[in-house]
Amino acid sequence: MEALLTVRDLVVQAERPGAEPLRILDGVGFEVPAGQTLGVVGESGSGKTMTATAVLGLLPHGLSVTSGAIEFAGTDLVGLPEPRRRALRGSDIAMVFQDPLSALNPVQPVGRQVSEVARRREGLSRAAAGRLAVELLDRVGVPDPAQRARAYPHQLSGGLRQRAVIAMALAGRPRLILADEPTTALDVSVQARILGLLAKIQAEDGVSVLLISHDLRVMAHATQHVAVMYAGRIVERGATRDLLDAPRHPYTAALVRSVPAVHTRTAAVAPIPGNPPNLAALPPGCRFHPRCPLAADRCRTEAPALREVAPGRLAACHFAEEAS
Amino acid sequence: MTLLSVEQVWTTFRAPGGRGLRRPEIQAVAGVDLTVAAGETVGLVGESGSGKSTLARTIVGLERARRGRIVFDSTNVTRGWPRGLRRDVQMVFQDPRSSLNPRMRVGDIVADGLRARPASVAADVAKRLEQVGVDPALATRRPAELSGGQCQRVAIARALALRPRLLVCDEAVSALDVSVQAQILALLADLRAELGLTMLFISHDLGVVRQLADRVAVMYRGRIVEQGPAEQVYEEPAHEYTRSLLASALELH
Repeated sequence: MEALLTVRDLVVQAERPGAEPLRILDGVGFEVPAGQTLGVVGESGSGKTMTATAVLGLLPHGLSVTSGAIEFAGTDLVGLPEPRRRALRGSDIAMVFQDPLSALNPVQPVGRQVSEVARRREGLSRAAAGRLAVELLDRVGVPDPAQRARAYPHQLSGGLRQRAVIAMALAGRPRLILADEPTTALDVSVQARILGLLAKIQAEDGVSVLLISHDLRVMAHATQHVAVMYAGRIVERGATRDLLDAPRHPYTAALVRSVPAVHTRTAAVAPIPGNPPNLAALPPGCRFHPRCPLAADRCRTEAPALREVAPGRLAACHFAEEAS
Repeated sequence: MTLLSVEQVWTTFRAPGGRGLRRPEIQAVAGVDLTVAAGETVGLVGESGSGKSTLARTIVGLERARRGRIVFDSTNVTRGWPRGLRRDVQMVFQDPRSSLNPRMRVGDIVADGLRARPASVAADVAKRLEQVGVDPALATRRPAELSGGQCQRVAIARALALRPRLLVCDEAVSALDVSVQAQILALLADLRAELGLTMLFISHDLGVVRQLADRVAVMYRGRIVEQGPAEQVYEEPAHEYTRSLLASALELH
């Protein structure tokens, strides 16, 4: 399978005055196959949003990619001049974030914001872009699109706002949609519909999606492949269904056990003891070992590499064969 | 024995826009009946805007009911909780960082609760922190120095320091990471068993509520459209809205 986006051994460091730079991402690698969805899942501070930010070239001041590659359609984005990266954002690479209000201009009707993207991308006339905006709003399931195109963001519900943001993304004819917690701020009933919309767009346009979320249930519903992050590293990767059904890394297994079920009566969730490590004071060896039920002496000294433990499945655990 | 009973309670607000009494009235809580028995955990589920938080705030006295009656242990508390009863109800909110005083030390936050119960002035803050799984060495820290999960544990310790008979949790685990969420759910289950707590547990997350609730009430547009034993509501939902809510919930497997 041809990959549209390949991230290789990505290292992102934060400069600290009077101290060693802090490694926020430490050798992150994954592929987003053309026309498919890769999910990146992890808890706060695991580096998942930082990974997305690095792909977009929007790392905050003081953070930089110090090694590794981000190949998009055969071009390495690392070191690409800023004007070229900017040209990719909002067209070939579209973004959908958690809070649609922060992505929308509060003083411009939403239809206008969608048509602006189309005008920039396609050089359409104002009238043609306006018609396209209404078409796109219709396509993303905004009811009464001609009417709603004239509405301001605050006049729309959270779900409709997120649909408007997706319409904006589509106006740029993206090849990759980067969605960071796109449904986290939405109600349960709206969440499933927005994920369904992303899947429909993917089926129709063959667009690839990099979906970032803390929620394993979102991964189960909306991705074909998943990468699990912990403390700045990827600890497990594989096909979503297999990975969730039979995790090989103890951290993934523990995460899966933490999710409360809705439709079946299950035993109490089993919490993982302790907290994720501080990146400035990482434990030696495996970063998960202080919280791991399988930890042995080797784990305390030797960091496990991410290795293939079954066809198509990678895990960074010395005991991946015994896990699950 | 019924500890809390809510009878035909209405809580309304004036919508912005327009002037005075001409502003449209929003019925956030529109005639709710709900009872919580001593030792029971009642889960209140619904989407944003359904009125579940307003109902919780009305029960604890942060909002005033326009109509109806709220009775706690045979005392009418609709117009406010009398001094002697106020400590009997405590609330844990979604965002611990905004519900804890950022300038106070963690130990003092919990000690304040202990001082409010004269009999336990001398009681040990450290013991309280340990009970909720916070290292007592952190007592001198301020909330900003703790993680979100630790802050929520402190908020629970503060609430429990008053030895309440009713604990109202409003989306208390919703902002937490899944592993931390699991830790807090386990903590609440342990504390309930240990202290015989009565809980009103509000969440939009149906999975979380299923973990804790003995009974479940489903709220929609200010009304409770269905309530019953948790297993019955989840397995045989009677109301159309409950069915659609359950159908839209995402599952892992």
